[in-house]
Amino acid sequence: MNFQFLNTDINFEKRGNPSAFTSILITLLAIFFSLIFAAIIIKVSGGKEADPMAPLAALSAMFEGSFGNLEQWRNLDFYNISEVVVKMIPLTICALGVSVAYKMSFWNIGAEGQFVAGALATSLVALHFDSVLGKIPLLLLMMMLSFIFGAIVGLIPAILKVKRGVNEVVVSLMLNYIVILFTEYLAFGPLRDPRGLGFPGTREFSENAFLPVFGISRVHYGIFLMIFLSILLWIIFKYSKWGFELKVLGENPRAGYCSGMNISKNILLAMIISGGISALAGFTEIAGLSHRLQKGLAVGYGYSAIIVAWISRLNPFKILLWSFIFSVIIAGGDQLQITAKLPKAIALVIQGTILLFVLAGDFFVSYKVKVRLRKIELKS
Amino acid sequence: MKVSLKNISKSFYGNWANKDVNFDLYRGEIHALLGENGAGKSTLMNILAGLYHPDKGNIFLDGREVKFNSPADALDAGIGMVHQHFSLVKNLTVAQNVLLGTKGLKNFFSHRDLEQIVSEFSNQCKINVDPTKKVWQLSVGEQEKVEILKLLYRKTKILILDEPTAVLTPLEIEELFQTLERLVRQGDGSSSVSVVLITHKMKEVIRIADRISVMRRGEMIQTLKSRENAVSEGASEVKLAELMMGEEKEMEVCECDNIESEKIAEESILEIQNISVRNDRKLMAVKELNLNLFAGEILGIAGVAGNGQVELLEAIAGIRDVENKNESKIILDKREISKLTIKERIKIGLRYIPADRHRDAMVGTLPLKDSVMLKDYDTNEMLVAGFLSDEKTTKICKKIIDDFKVIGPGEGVPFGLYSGGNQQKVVMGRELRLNPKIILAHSPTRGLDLMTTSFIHQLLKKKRIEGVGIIFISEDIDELMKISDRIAVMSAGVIKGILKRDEFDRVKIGLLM
Ligand SMILES: Nc1ncnc2c1ncn2[C@@H]1O[C@H](COP(=O)(O)OP(=O)(O)OP(=O)(O)O)[C@@H](O)[C@H]1O
Ligand SMILES: [Mg+2]
Repeated sequence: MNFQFLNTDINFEKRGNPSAFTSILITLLAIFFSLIFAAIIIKVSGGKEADPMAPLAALSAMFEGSFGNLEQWRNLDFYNISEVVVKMIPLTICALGVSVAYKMSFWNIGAEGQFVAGALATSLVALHFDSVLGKIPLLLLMMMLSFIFGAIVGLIPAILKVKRGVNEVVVSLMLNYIVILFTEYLAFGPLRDPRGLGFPGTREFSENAFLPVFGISRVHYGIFLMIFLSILLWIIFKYSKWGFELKVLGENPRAGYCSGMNISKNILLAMIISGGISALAGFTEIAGLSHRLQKGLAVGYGYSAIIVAWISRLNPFKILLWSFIFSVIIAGGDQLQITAKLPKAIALVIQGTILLFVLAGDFFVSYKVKVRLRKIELKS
Repeated sequence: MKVSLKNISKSFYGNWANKDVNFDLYRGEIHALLGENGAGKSTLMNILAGLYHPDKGNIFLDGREVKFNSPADALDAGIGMVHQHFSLVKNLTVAQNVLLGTKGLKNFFSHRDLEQIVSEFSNQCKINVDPTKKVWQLSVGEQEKVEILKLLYRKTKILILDEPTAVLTPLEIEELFQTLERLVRQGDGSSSVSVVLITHKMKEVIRIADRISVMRRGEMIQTLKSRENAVSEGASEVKLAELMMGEEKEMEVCECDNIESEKIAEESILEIQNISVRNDRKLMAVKELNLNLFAGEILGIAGVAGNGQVELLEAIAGIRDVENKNESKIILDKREISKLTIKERIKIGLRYIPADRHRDAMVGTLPLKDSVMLKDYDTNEMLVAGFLSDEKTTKICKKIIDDFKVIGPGEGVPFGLYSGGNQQKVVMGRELRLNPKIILAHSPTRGLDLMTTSFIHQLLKKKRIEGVGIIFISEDIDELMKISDRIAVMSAGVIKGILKRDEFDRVKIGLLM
């Protein structure tokens, strides 16, 4: 007897730098597939409805939530998109923050806590000085102290790593809980507004302590800080001596060390800057948006920021772009919750799947996949 | 087993690394593969070993076509390769590395069992390494042995060795060759082993190879038939060099070759007094060592690898701590440098070329440029108004690439993908570019082809005339005798003796070692 088998060979081979076109194409495909995936999830989780189009309707509701509908556009109502930008500001700043640490392969997971530390510092300054100082010095002081608070929180895992070799992931993650819960305790307790009728938070600051906003929207001047930091980091990463050290130490610390770079000093410095920047997001959020310290401040920007930084390959301008995309998803998720009664966490699911698809897509960009069929004959 | 590679082509980033290459390996032969840096030797053998897939062409084993999808496939077929850069697990012991992933072990075993197996096996092959040591504690030479042991243990019939001798001492090379010959000549033929040996050292080739194949720029130029033929066809070093280089003209060199070294300046540029240094195992590797380096001399250091050479250089460079800082001195150009940081020492003109360039001297995952910038990114040479200048750094890269004829896949490609020799050229280019006071070079010509080796020698001699002090460590005594003004012999962490040029003598040096 003669058996014939078709045997498939699959091979992966590294290939050259992908062209810009393929990268963009793969990225778009990744987003597309994650949306399809999201539709499936929606279908499964909202399964009672018989309407087969329900998932698509939900997705379009989501986009309407982020971009608004034609009606609104015709009336020059850009409220929805402005809300996307409002979310984009803290997300971008946190992503820029973590990217500094990631540049030297220091896995700082603590942006969420650093963000909250910044919020706390901002509030402390505002509560004490908002009727004493003028607007500019007040805002500057808020900004500075929030940077310092974030830097201190960032320094803890860095010091433990340098002195004791403790894994930074565990420490920075645990610190999130400590910082967030401590801040909530303050907001509930010592800093609580005595005239707040039980409201879980501090009093509202006086207008002195507000970041200006654009027109009637909630988009605040934190956007300038965001853009400034993006450009600054881009320059630092690409053209500064320190950026070069970070890059080398991230890729081959031993070679960096043998060339005279100081690993410990750079870990500490990177975490000061990384924590400080993430904390600035807390500053803009408090001074620009909520104007008081209250419960529920930490909504996960610090975690989404990790995904954004990673997807963007630590390129500050790509971080801007991806933060925008992620903010669309986050804002849309809020909308889903309201209109489709679906859990807001759908947005998180989509974020996660985008990351997976982009990473998978990256694989196909940088590897050639060869599939070959071959016949195998077996005689018996 | 007979191997045939037929019409193999392989390109990277649009450049041909192999173009239509044919290659036969007979049963029971030692086949040398020669070619300049970047000629495509490693690529061809990587294809045979299942690491790369050819774009075109086929592989035949005893006339049957085979396809390897991974090195594991090739290993199953009896083909194993020791790569130019080792693939051992640094944190495991020698025994664990050798036995890693092999079949036929009991489910439970103790370290002692493993070590027993490996130590017996290594005695049997006459390749001696301590099976209890962790790999990171081994010298490069010892690691090479572990790699070979590993393959032999897996009953490999076709051994591909990519530049094994680059890191071995003459004695170790002799040992290795005896082992190889024993493996090849033994048995009735069915059990015998064939060897492909990639090397840049002509002497070895002529001494051991049954047949010799020469590659140039991705193409197979010629295979010299049998040993006898090879000799009668004039497989002299000169002939082989001609085949390898083709029409190319020599690299620019200075006329310093004929300037002889009678006169060494009386002035010391580097004085080492009484330093003791520990190795990674925390054992004393350098023991109260004294050494003087004169301005304008090349001081060779001979010795078996692992006798404290690396530790000595690292201590001078500031990478490794000196144990007895208070009783010892390192004086560079009349200045005590023991307390200076690595960076400060670099700035005052100390240049170090480490043996393990992948780990210590380059960043393989980033483009070439970053490795070129590695030590001087904070000097005015590369900065404009405090910021890194693309223009300046590009120019410096270009100069190194031109001067050293660096061939590689190009700008944006990770530097680690350049051929081994080309990586070394870039590292050398970086360290010799400026005007250092002293150069500490550990095996700087390791893995370089003939022409580049002589180019490097010329460059070092030129630096020497300019008054630079050079410490040159090599396991190749011939190379040392050729280039050094004095040779110090190092053994067990101390200098056993220093010979002047007119006292150079292989036997004398060997005895001191
Ligand atoms: N994985 C890879 N990706 C890209 N280019 C590669 C890769 N491997 C090899 N090359 C390129 O192919 C050419 C041949 O390289 P190869 O390593 O085969 O040379 P070689 O003859 O072994 O040289 P050497 O003596 O320096 O080791 C080189 O130009 C090298 O840069
Ligand atoms: Mg090679």
